[in-house]
Amino acid sequence: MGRSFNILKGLIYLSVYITTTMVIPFLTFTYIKEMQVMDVNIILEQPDYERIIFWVSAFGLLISSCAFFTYSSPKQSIRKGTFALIQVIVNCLYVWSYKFSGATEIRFELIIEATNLGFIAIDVQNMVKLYMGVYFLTIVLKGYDFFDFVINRKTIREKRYKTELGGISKA
Amino acid sequence: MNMRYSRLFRWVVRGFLLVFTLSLSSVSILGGYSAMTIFDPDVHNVKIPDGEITSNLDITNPSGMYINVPYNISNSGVYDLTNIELSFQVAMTYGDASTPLNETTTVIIFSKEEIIGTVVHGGSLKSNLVGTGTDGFIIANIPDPSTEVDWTRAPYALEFYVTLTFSAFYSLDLYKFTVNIMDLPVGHIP
Repeated sequence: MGRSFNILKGLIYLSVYITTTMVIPFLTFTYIKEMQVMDVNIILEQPDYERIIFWVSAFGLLISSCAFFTYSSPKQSIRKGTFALIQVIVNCLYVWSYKFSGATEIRFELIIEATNLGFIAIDVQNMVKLYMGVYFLTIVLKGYDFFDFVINRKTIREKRYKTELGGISKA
Repeated sequence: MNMRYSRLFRWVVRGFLLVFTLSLSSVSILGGYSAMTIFDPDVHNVKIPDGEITSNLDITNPSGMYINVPYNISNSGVYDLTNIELSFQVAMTYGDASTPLNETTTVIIFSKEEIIGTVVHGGSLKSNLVGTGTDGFIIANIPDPSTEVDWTRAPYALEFYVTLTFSAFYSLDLYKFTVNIMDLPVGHIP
């Protein structure tokens, strides 16, 4: 029951992370790739689009697999702590991938009847930096969890087995 | 560490995380929504040029050249538009009579950047970008009309194109956007 539940929990989080880190960004960038406002085509260049999608998908896959292992591991286990820590690091790289793939400085070409009129550029680098600052708190929390699980391993195990023997497993 | 303290520590950090994440999300959503209202093509909140560009681009008298670009920026969003910059360039295309085949040449004859500053939310700014012979025009780039310009060039001896760049920060300086319109034909001689 405990193990199956953990696997199910892992699968649920796997699908949540696939949706949030891969499907939603993919749909968003595909939607904004080509728009039309007052007969002017606003186009995201194809190489830019492909580069963004590649990096977002690559790190999205890594995060999703880490999320599966994190959430399918027993509560307060070192395995959970380790995967959670790896996940936050990969998460940071994922956010950073928006910067180096060019997604934080998107440039749309303005085209009217095959003539290039100019461009619109949107730079959200400051936003990403601020988000990274907020995310630092998560890194602190997961790091703290990891060391807590290692240091208090004996107490956590004793407590877990005691609960399991008592017939209520919270794993 | 006592388990009770570690639980307390976790809840405090989670609380901060929740507050920061919610604040960041609301700033993003409000910023995005406001930007859409400012740039709504049906409303024309940012009008550059706001009316006709008046100019004298007679290269036979460089000191008398001038250009006047009226603009109007209305900020109907919820945040201030900050660090607004407007850059304006005029390029001139002509046939270079000093080359054997009167090669078509393009030179930048006017370039000016204006730092407009801030337009607070709900406010608007109506002004002009002005350039005169000594301020903005690059006299050194202007060809000698008597020896370097092919006045028989078709369809026009001189053609003028404008490149305009407007940039500003928005949403507590978290977003920067730039709009660039290039090589817009604005006139010709004769």
